[in-house]
Amino acid sequence: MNMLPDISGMVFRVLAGMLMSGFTWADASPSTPVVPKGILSIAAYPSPPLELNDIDGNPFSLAQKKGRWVFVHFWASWCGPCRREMPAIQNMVEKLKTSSLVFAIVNTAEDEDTVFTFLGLLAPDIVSLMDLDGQVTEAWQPRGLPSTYLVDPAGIVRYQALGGRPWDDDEYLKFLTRLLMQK
Amino acid sequence: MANNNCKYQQKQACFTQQVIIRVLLALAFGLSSFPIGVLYAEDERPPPGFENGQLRLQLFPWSTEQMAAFFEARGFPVLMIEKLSAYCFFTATIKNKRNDVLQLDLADWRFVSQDGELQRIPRSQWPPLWKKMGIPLASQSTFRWMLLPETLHFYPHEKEGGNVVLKKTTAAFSLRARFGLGENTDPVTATVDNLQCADVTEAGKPL
Repeated sequence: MNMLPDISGMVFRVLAGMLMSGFTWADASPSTPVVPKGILSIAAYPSPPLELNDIDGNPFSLAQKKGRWVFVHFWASWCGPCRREMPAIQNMVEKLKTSSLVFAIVNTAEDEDTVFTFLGLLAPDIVSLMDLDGQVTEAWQPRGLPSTYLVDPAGIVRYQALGGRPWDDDEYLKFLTRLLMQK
Repeated sequence: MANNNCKYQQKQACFTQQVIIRVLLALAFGLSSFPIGVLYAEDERPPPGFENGQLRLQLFPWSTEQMAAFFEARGFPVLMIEKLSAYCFFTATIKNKRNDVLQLDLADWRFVSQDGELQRIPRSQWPPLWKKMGIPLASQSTFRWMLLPETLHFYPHEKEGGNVVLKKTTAAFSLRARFGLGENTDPVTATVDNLQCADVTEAGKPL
């Protein structure tokens, strides 16, 4: 009786099993972020352009942030969920200020007075980018306002948040921190 | 990341300005919010709507005055506000209570009165009108973001809202809406009766 085919079959099965378990480890490794509620891992696509001045007149270019994750957020003062979410965003910015995460917080089609007074009350440390005519927001086509995207270091949109999120909750902070650990 | 500092002003003047702004804002804040929260006090009749185990749909009518005040506060041109006064506005909020995707397509919404189907003004009709009227892009953009999208896939438990605009009518009407669930699956239907434009009195006459 020739045992060779059976042995090779066993070896194949063992190797396959090792490979499978290896994949399982990879999926469960600490560096893989657990996606919190309301964050969608979406079909990746290159980010639309985002070049705007902030409320102090300083230019911002998303293209120049390659190599870093970018938190892109669209908001307006008339949007109720934006008002509820903005303090959480300020807390998150404060907690992650020493990280490499870049924040691009974009006001959609409002003037400086409106943005100044709104943020002055709710999130005075946030520096908003000013999409004065709304055309940058238009190019991103968010589902609605507020809307948040996470753009990877290669400039690819990887995640989208549905509506307003409690960004300063541990679950979200851990998710963002683990994203930053990914290469 | 500090901003909102008065970079170019004397410290005392800056402080006074900030205090005044904040007091005025605190007074005006309720009026400047998206109207859902301010249209209905808790002791008032709840807005018309529909709810079952699959979705929640609510419709909040805007009066012409509310609409004008809201848009004026955002610097909309008078011409634009006058034009919008001729229409009937509802803010629709939809929550998908299912564990799968619920498909909104406003083409599947019918607003029906005794006299027949009411005309809904789709999103595509506004930009040519605003362009012809020379409306600034910022106002166009804000108006557009306030509209309910023509189509949207609601993810499980997602809630979104936006305005639906109808040709003004004094008649009571119903909404018959269908939401898709994908191929080979019957849509979810929702009916909301006794809807009226906000400027119509109980006697059925426009204010």
